[in-house]
Amino acid sequence: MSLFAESDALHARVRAFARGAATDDFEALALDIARFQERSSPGFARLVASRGAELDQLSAVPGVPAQTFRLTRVAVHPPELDVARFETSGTTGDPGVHAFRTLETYEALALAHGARALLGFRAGPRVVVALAPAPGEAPSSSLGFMLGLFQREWDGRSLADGDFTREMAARWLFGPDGFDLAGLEHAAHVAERRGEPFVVLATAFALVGLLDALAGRPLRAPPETCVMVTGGFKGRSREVEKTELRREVARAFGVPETHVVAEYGMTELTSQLYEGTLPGAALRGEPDVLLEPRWLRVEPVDPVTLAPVPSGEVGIARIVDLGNIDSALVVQTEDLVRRRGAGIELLGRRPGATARGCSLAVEAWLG
Amino acid sequence: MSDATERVQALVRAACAVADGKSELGKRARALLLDSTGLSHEGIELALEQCLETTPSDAEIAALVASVRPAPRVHVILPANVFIAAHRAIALALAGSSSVSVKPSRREPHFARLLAEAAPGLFELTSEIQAAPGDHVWAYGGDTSLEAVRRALPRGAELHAEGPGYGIAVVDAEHITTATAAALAADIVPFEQRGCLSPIAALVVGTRADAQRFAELVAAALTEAAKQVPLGRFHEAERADARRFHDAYRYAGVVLAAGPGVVAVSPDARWSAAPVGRNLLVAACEDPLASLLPARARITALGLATGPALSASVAASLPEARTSPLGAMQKPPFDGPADRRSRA
Repeated sequence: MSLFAESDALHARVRAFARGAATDDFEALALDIARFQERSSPGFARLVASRGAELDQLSAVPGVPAQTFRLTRVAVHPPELDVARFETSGTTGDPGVHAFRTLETYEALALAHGARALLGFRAGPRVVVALAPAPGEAPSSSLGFMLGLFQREWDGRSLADGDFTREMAARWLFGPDGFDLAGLEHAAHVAERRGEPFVVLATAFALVGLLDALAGRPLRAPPETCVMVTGGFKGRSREVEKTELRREVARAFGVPETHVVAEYGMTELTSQLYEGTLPGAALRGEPDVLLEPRWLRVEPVDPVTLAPVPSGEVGIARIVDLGNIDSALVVQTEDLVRRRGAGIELLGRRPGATARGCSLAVEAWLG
Repeated sequence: MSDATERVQALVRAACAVADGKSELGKRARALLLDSTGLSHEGIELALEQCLETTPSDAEIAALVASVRPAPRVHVILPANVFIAAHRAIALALAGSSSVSVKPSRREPHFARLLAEAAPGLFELTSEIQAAPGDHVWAYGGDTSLEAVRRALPRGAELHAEGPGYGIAVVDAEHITTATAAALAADIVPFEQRGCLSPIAALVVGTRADAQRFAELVAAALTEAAKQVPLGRFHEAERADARRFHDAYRYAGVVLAAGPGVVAVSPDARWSAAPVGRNLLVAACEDPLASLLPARARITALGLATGPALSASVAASLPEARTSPLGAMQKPPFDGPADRRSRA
């Protein structure tokens, strides 16, 4: 079987697994993907060889550090077959790139788990907008692509009298030129007038921008409003602690805090995790607990040995994402997590070693 | 001889006393530093014998004194990563004032205390800095912390903020030799790459094959060096950084065993900082200036093994970085701050 036929077959199996329509078991499917990547990716093969392990159990599959995406191409296929290249959004250094040969699986997985988390209240159409810049024709941001996908698939209608495509700009309400508060109020009004739920997809720093623009004034939004929050601040706004942000956003939209749903994703992954707090949504869980889809697993591991940490202890997230068929099945992040209930709790980034030439004395002096 | 010169010379005599392994003070220093620095016994000996400035020339001391402005009082918040840096930091303070107050690092408080013991009354140790308008403060730390120090100082106090930095080696294809590699290894071993003069990457002006050839020589040299100076101890964050570096470059490029560390070869001209320990990243490049200039704000030291034209060009393009031949990066002249980047 050729590389691409093998990849296509794995994509089909993963999509079937995600639909619950396959008899595949997670570990067997993961190991097949890992072996495919070992055969197809010299870099991954070197990493496997350095561990001296056989890929006969999932725990033996080495994680590819997320940093690797910044250093080299992490893909089984050549660049000419890329249909999308999503770039990481770090503020320093070269961006990392996650290249995709097909977006069919990405779309299927993002929609499946996103719907479970964000389509609450009741069935039927809803108005969907994003507090993010418009991604353009060839989005380089995986987040932008996903938000556009949600807008198209969960709404797909005009906010006025035109067609959806021509009015796309009206749904991207936060960009380099600032925050479009009037646009957001208009969209909320459309949802209210139609009697439909309102879904606001937002980055954390955009929401801070919204709160600053509102200056304490509440926004008129339908009671069935859901706000998805993702990402950090990366120096693009003042930083607001996540509990406070949730409280302030809920107050601004006039909805309970359970309507504010956190999402966790990274460019290096295909899949996402969500909180399961939205009333009427299929995904159920406690606040601050991010729930994995059935095709993704997060395991907290020791930052030095990469061995799993005891249950309930903090480790760095080793993420097995079956959606990463053509890149890296297991991504080793530097995000600190611990298992809690049915999901994980995100606790920030692992602090690196002290910067060279620095002294802890300064921190001590500052008390 | 000026009072400032005399004060600096008194400190140098104190450093000599601490470095003397036969004296009671020197023996005590070695035992204390073994605990606080994480360096091996041989690593401490190397630092005291080869890196601590115990024999500066009169001209160097004159330059050091001339590099600072007088102040009524000078305060020093000492670094921890490189214990001997306390010597130069206190010398700079003494060059500026007869009233010097030193706050040792919590992690490595011993070296400053030993210097104070060897030179009673030359400066005072304190656990809390209380700067007044007109005072100068020399502080070593991360950008955020230094900014916080700046905000905390009273109006009129002057901060000399010594921020993070690192060294880079530049080698051209004609200088890829066993001797050059050994010289670079000699720059890597002291302080386990924690210092602002430590070379965290080597740029090889040539092909990727040249870079790999040099990496192999450096790996062999580091393996040999570890027999003389065993690796020190590392805390968890440092070991985790080393693990990530290893795995990322194992995937992206080539990773060579180098005794207790690794030498990685970048897949292209891009470079990043190797983690602390006996680690190095080697990257091939055609134009070293194109690789260096984007990072110039962080480059404290350049170790050069290149032809004269390229050396001159690199030095002229990064005038604030100390340039030296490989093997001398950790031994800058005692002529002013080790880090000469502007501290506006």
